[in-house]
Amino acid sequence: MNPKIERIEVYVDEAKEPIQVLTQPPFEVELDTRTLPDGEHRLRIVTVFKDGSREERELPFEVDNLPDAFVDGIDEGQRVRGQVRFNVLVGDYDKPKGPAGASAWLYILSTVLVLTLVWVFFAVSPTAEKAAAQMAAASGGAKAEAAAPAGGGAPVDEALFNKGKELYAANCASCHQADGKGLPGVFPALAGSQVVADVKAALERITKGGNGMPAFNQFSPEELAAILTYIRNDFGNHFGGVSVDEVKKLLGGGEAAAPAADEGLLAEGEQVYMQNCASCHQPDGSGMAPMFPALKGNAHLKDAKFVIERILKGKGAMPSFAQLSDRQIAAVASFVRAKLNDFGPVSEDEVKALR
Amino acid sequence: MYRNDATGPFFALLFSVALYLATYLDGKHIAALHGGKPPHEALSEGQIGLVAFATLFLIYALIGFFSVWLEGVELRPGRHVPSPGAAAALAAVLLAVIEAALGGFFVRLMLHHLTVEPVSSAAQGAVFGAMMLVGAVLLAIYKKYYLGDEVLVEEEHSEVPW
Repeated sequence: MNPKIERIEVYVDEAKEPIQVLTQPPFEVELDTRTLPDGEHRLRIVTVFKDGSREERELPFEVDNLPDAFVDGIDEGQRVRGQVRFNVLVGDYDKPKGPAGASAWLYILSTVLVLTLVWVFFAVSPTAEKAAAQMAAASGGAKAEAAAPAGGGAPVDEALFNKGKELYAANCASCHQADGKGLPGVFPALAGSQVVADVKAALERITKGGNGMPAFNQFSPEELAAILTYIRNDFGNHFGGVSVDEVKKLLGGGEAAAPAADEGLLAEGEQVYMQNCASCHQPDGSGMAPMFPALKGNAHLKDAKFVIERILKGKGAMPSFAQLSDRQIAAVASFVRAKLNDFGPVSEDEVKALR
Repeated sequence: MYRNDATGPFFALLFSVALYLATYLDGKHIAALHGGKPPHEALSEGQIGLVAFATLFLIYALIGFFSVWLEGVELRPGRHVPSPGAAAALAAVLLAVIEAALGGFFVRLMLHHLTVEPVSSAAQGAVFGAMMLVGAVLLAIYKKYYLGDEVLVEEEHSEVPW
């Protein structure tokens, strides 16, 4: 307290006598407004100092102990009939200001405590972890189902995956980008792609092109399986691996599933090839562009009829080799299709039928 | 006079249901054109357009119905003191516990996704969406049963131009 202060007098309105005289702290004043009529009033606080000087502070205020009654449920001028119910609301100064009982802090603390315990239980308990794992499994299963409708997601072959990664970098990354996210509006993203999720659709898109993409039909079934395995399991995709057999089955519609070529027939075919064909098409089947087309990696050889007819009848610079026996033609056709490529062998009966 | 009618929301809901139905039938038609097997895309462009408008109408309808539930059809001037009953308190407590549980579980799901195995975006979104929905219902209960209201009457021609 300021040592120069002697006392503080509190007056209401023009009263001569103070309602309270304060001589030491706390300077708390109690004013019962019910003793005052409703309306404007004035509080005067006079501080008397020890040297006799005074300082006065005035504070206007309003007392409103008896507010007008408020009628809720019937409007002024409203037309009513029958029995009408409405509430009359009047201020009540005797009503306690807040709820009695436990303090608000106790409520807040206990609520925070309970909610924190619930939160922690669901964040760290093994039960919650189990539920999260179940949810992940359920969503993964749904993804795999959507991903491989043609035959289910096979396990990912690491060798195929790595080979696919190399092929992707060499052939696809320039458009679809190394991270598989493509270029929006130009080259579609492979990450999360529905086409990639469907083995058949993805294979068709690679080999036949479409949607602005050129056809890449130079790949062998193994290379295609590698690329598919890679793009289906990188960039955040988890669509499962693709086997070479699956690709062959989808490519040839069963042709590649034909019995494997007889080794004797292939050896005989290699002999016939070296004697009759290698001089132009080269011993390794790489040909001599543009005169002699390559046989290795040539998609046209997928059609067995085309191969047999070309040997039998020739075309352009290629002479007819009709002088060869059915067995020899079947052998050399099998050699170029199964050894230089991944297509199935050719039988003597097929040659006989076309001769 | 202020009116908080449920007629607009009702018709919005009706349009919304009709548009969702149209989307479903469109999907069936597209699947039929592809020999019964749906194409790769989950939704066609047309379907996305229909769903967008259907959702717009649905949200409008929900907002409208919520407003009618919270404020009533017609505002009555005066001070409205809320009177929360036991049911409202119980619902608020239950929803608060569910909200805390969903929050904790969402964190667990995120950690599982980042450290153990991937969890689909749809599953993550479902848990987060549930959190948001419960939060919205909690706010609505608070507004309806715990927040006091005062409706004032203004002169008909006030300074506000609308």
